[in-house]
Amino acid sequence: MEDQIEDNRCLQACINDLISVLALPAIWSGHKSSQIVTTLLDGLVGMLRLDFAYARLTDSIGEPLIESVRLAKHRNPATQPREVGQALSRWLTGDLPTSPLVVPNPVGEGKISIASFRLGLEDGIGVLVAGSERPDFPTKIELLHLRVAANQGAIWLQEARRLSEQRRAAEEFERQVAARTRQLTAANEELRKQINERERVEEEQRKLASLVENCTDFIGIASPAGKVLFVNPAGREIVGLDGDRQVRATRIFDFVVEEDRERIQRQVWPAVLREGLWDGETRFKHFQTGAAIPMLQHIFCIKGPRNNRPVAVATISRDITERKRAEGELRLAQAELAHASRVLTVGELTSSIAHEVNQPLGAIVTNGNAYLRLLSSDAQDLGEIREAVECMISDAMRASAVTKPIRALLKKTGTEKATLNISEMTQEVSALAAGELAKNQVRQHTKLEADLPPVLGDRIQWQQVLLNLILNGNEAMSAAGWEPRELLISSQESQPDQLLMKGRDTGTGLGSGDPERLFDTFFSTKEGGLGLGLSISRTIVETHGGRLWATPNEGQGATFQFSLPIKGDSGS
Amino acid sequence: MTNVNQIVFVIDDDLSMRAAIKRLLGTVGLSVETFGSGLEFIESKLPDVPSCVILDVRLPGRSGLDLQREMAERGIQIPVIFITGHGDIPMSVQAMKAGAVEFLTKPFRDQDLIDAVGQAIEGDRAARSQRAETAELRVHYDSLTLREREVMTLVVAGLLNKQIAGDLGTSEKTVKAHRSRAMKKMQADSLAELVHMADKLGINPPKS
Repeated sequence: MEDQIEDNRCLQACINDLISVLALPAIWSGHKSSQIVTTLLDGLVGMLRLDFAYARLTDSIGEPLIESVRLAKHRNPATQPREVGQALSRWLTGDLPTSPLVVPNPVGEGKISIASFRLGLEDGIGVLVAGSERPDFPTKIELLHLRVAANQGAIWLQEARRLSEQRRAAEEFERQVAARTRQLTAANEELRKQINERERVEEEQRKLASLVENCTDFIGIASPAGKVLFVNPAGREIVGLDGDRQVRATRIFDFVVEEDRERIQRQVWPAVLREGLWDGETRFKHFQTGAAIPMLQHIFCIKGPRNNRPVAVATISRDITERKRAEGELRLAQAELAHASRVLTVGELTSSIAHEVNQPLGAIVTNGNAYLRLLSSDAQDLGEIREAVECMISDAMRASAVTKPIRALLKKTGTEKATLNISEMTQEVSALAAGELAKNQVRQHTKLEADLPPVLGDRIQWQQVLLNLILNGNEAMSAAGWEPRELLISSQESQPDQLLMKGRDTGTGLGSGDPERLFDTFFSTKEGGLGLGLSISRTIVETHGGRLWATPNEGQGATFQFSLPIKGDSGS
Repeated sequence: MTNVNQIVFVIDDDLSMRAAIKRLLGTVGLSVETFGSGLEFIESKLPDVPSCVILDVRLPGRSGLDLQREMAERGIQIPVIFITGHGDIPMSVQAMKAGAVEFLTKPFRDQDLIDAVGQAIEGDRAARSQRAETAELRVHYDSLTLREREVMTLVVAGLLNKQIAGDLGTSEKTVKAHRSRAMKKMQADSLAELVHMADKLGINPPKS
């Protein structure tokens, strides 16, 4: 009876322990292998009053080799699982002993009984070793417990491994997803950049297009064959074209006045294609009114990106109507000023001109009177009479020579070109100035080369320059008591194709300042002088392609001189 | 018919004018010599006959007015007729002040020039004869002794012989003798004539 009670209690305890063992998986769910092993070993050491429990799990994908040891409470807690594993290793290689063994105690002194079990099939997971110093260890019930615990452990360790692998796979998947995501993000960013770049380029193009559209100059593009492709709004406005369609129906020669077409075709267009650009003036034609529009052109080739051949020809040109008008007005104003200066000069000369004219007139009257007296005398001396009349005629010619240049100088004139003999003109003008020089006690010498080549220019303008050259020298010697008073006017061919005209005086010289100041408009050393003479003379000389300047003499006075090209185009 | 006893000098830089004046004056029988400049004229030897100068005011180098001044400085006492192409009043005033006889502006009337020349030559003739007369008196006067000159001076001042003797501290008889010798040497027939001569010679009584 008591045995039965003992058996029952034993059975009861056994069942309780089994239930405890079977309850373990409830806390293992979702745990890692190391945690499962630790709780399993702890449970076995506690339940079966073991001295130690040891487990070794083989390494598997996602988990390293795990060794763990749990000891009874009175054992040294510093014992390392690895040392225990090494001590037991000779019994754990190959096939495990099927019955308990007595081996040297790996966690203390003396001998100990151990029971070892596989975890999983064929050592798939690892081994479990339980050790106790108790002599009855392991009992049948304890073996049962251990086997059940080993099975339970193997199942859950398997599960843990599976979970671990799953987790690892999931992690791998996530890693791949993350990598892919990164790639996609990068690609996305690249795309974003490209879009931005395209937008920036488009904006640049819009800016440039806007410049062209809003530019007030004429901007046009044509094919190398001359077909017009584009004209900006300002350009269309200048030439009176309505819209793009009308523009595209034109060729570049339609834009140019007829008189300029041949020049464009023969010179300008080939030059653009050859040199890549051309600058100059041409005249456009208004498409509606036909009026000529003076344009300052900058024409250039637009070349292809690879072969450097012209793909289009473009022009940026400015309507210079206004400038041309202003230039015309300036020319007119200069002519007016020159005329005013001539009138003034002649006015200043009036007194001495009157004297110069009176001189021959006096001789004519006197000779006329003598002639009358000779006629009425009894003995008519025909030789003397003839001589008197001849003198009268030559004096009349002389008077006329004095007045002749006056009429021209007082004329308001444009610029008429003629071939002129500068030495002859100098003599004419000298006659006009002779009285002024005589009044001033100035002795004028002339050294004029007779056979100088003719000069192309405007007679009146040259008379003005020459008169100024003489009067200027005269003026420099007009101070009271000034000595000597000599003026040398000379002309020569100084170099081939160059004529040099000099007025050398013995006057007061150029002063200490810059001689160039004498040529400034309104600069004058004379009291009441307007300061126009020299500046106008210089303008005239320069428009004929020459040069006018002043140099001090070695001794006394100064020399004013101008050089002039003899042949070729002598300006406008 | 050229009268070589009188001559007209024409000074003008204008050859044509010189010739015309010579031709005109030739028609009235005047002898004319022409010069292109004042220097040419000054340096030439002038005949001692009644003459006049026709001078252009505006000459190159030395002007007509300058020449007129230089003639005076050199004692050339020939009347000057100025002609000018374009005369102005200050210039003519200056010329007339310096003794010019006429100032004509070109072109002038022929008769004006001929008349002016006639007057100038006549004036020169008179001046020359007067200068000759004075020169003769001077010769006579120079032959007087110092005492005779003293007596003559006091006589023409209207003093009586007695007063003169008192002034000179001599006798009335001696004064009479000096006076008579002086009259004889001066070839004066009367006291009135002697007074006239003294006037011409510029003899003035001493201040008392």
